[in-house]
Amino acid sequence: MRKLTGIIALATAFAFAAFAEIDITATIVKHLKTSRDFTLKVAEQMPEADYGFKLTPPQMSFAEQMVHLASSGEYFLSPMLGTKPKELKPKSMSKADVIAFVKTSFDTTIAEVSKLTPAQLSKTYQGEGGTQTGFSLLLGLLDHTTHHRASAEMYLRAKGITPAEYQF
Amino acid sequence: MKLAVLLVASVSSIGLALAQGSNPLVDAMIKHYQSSKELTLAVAEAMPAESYTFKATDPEMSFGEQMNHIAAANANYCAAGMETKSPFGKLEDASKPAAIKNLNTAFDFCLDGLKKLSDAGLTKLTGSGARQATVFERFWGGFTHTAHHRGQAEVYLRLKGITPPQYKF
Repeated sequence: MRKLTGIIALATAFAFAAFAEIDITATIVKHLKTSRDFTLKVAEQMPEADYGFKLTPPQMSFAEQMVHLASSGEYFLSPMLGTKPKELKPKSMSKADVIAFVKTSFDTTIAEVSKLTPAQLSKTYQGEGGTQTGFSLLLGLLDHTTHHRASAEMYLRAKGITPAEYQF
Repeated sequence: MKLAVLLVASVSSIGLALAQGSNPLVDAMIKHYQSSKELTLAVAEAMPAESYTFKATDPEMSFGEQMNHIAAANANYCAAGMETKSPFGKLEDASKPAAIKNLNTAFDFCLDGLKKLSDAGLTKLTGSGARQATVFERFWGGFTHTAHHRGQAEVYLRLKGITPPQYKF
């Protein structure tokens, strides 16, 4: 009987080990890297002189869209890290400083996401946007970035520039 | 022999419990797909029917074509995740009623597929070669592609003097 219990326990442990192997984090990191590279291409495409351009008055300027989307990591990860989201800003709104800011922000985010454990993904956190699991926060991060980058791509089109090809 | 039966029963009952019980990842994806459906339909509704042919610049798709493209691509991504066929052929009619019907069909197709998944099923690899991807990536690829085109369509609304519906996730 004891042997039987032992074997069942072993089988159970094996089944759970297989479950824990689900490595969604690595997949999300891969897509965050694609998102970073794609966003940087869009940022590079806009000429320096048009960084302040907006299509309609209520919108953010191109530079503001870039800064806003690059701040997504700080916003969506802070509930998981137990920190208050800081309002991060580039040195200036010039093209060079905005691009440097986008790059640093994405790299910080990618480094932080790489360290997350499966337990953190299923845990529920209280953030400014209500209660969400770590997994939802990461999906929100990808979605929010995509949303604002799409607006920025429309600014490129308005300037007669064909945006870099969509990547996921 | 008895032991083997017990073992199989034990392991399969655990498998079943995992499949039916707690699937926090799939549950989250269903929730966000539902929000994406609602936001995309709100964007589609916000554009007047006569402006469905509007495009911001010449090389772009019209608003109606953007909506159909969201529907068709979503269905393709989700069909790949389910290893089945998209419910659509080529979408020709880009009028407001047709596009809204297509969006509903596509989102419901994806939601139905997600509801049949377990968290463990998300890491299953589909496709082959360079296009190989997990089930999670198929569904999430569709989701992100929607955000990409809906983000553009919202700018079409702004150019028509319409404030887009509030972003939600």
